[in-house]
Amino acid sequence: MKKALLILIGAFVSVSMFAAGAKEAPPTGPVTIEYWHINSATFGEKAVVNSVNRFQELKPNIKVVHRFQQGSYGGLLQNLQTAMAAGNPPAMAQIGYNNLLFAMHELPHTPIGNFSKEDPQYSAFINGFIPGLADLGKDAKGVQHAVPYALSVPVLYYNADLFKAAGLDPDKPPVTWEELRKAAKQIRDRTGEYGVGLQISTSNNWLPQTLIESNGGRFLDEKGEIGVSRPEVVEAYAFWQQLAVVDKSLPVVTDAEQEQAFLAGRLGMYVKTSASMANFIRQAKFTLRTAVVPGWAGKQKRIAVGGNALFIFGKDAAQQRAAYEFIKFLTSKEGQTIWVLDTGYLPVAAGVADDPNYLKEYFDRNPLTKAALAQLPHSVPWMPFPGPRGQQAEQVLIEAREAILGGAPVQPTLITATERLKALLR
Amino acid sequence: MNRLIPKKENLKKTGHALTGFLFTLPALTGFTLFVYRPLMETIYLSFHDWNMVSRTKKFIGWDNYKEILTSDSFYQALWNTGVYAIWLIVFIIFLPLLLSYGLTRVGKWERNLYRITLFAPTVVSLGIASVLFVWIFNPIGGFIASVIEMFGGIPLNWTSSLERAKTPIITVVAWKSLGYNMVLLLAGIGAVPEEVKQAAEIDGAVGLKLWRYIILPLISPTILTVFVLTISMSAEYVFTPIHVITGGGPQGVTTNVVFEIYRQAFQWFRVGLSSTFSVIVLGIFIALLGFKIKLSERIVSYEER
Repeated sequence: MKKALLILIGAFVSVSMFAAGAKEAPPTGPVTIEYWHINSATFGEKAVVNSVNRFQELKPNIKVVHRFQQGSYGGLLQNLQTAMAAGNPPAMAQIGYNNLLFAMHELPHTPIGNFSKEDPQYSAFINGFIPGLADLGKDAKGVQHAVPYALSVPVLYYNADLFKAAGLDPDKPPVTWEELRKAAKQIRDRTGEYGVGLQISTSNNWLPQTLIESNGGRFLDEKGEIGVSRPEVVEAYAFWQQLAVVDKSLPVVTDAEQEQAFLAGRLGMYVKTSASMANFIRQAKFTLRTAVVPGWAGKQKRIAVGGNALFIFGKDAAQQRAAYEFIKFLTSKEGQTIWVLDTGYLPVAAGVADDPNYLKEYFDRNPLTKAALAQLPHSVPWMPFPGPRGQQAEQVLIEAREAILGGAPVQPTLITATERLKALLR
Repeated sequence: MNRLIPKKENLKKTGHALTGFLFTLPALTGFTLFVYRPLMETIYLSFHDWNMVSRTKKFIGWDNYKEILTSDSFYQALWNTGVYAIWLIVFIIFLPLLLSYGLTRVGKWERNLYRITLFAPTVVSLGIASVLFVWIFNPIGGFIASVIEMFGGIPLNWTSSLERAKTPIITVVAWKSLGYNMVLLLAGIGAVPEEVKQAAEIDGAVGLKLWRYIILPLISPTILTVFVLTISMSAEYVFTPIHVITGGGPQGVTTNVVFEIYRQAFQWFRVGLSSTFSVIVLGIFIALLGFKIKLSERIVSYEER
């Protein structure tokens, strides 16, 4: 009995000593980090597993435990907040660009920029991104909170068979929104099928941002003033309404319904995230083609990128450093090659797409993905409304869009929305 | 003096009470931990502003209550919940009642066949059913649209129409719950004693009369149970199809109280406001419960044994 007690005490003491030792271990010592992601079995889990395995070979000292989170970025964020409230956050996680500002300002984290002094290769790491892309992880003051990892842009997918049936040339997809309207109407009139759908969401305004900003409008301008009822925005929403109400070439339905219709061959064009590419290629039973998202005639395109950035949430220094190392690997040419091959996202690392050692062959083999790659020079951060009421503000715009597509007068609807936004964002 | 020294009899009573208390302790512990404690916390949070992660919960008094009671979305959610309740009463109380009436009039073999067929949807998960109904109601090439087109009609828009968006949601819940309620009601009907029915028949109560004066009053406790389940479904159960099919839109016509509570807390991170919403809804349900108790005293006949 006494012996057993002694063993127990011995075990306890050694465990506590080990625990104490781990705390003071240098950052290179053996450490386990948890990585939270949203990549389900059908949405890139293989890429996560391959990345972790390869990293394990390179840095056997750092053990990465990857955990899938249900419910996309919103679900991950909910679980993250719960874990934080319980004092047990993962070392690192993917944060959707739509939650970027929220995470920067509301969630306790270690900015990536903190490693600029510690790591002599820091500037090489940041310069390894496609020029300008690393800025997606910066706040207004220039602090590098996170770095971009997954990248997607809107793409114009179209059904070449319907194009031919409507007497349109599938080799000449519309380049401007005005041309798109004509093509959509022609499909509607000649084939009886719907012409075009624009991706919509019940929680964000990702595609509308591209539509509006390319027309010179801003939901929120540089001075922080709400620009929702300004002429450029009104014009863009009026255009959208005309597709639906005047031409009846755009179906007023939910996004799931648009997607089903497109895949069933009953929607001519569909402007949607490039992240759907792999799925569309697999499921489309018609000749699927892609093109860059249209712009407004004579105006500079501004394309809001979707996807996620990597944040460090780990509580102790060893975990933070280990997470930083893993992030460096994930965004390197090698890490990006693993990631892009199994997801269909666009690479964030500079030069990797033309590098014969990495992704050149992939992009040569998949001409459809080139349309997505071609838009990167026009990319701008996805800018949801900031602040603690930001998500609620998105809802105001969603309801305004629903009213407009339902036939409500555009300008008064947007003026009302502006008033509601002012109350939420003041 | 008398009051200070307990009489032997009183002591015995206290002892009984203690034993009783000990017996209920396991259940009580669970209730306290998982029902009352969170309830108290919800009431506490309803007076605070909190985003779920911040260390500080800011006390703001009645501000949350004022904000909710003056917001349109609260009344819209409440109204929608009421509309869901009314339609569900039609589809999962009256309809199963009619069906079970019909089932008592067919042979045993047919009855079992119908019972299995109508009960089958109950075992399908609500999430999967919702996804299925997205396709059924899709105005472009969906099942209903295809049938309408086959007869040369113009397909209706459901999920994005202000007038019809509730239809798919009510359909999913009704489709899934109808069979379950029907089985409950059938069990109630089966429990009506044969001799009572025979006696009534001898007295001339046949067919519908038998139903109106004998069976319906005797199964009224079952109907009340089904009724209460339906009301709570219109708040809780409807959540999944809202989440999957419409996300509360268009313009909030499909949202309900539980979806609003969820959205405030987990999409907008306004935990205090969401708690306030819950507390107000709880108040409404307590009032409804009081009404239910009154009602059951008046019109429900419990068989005296």
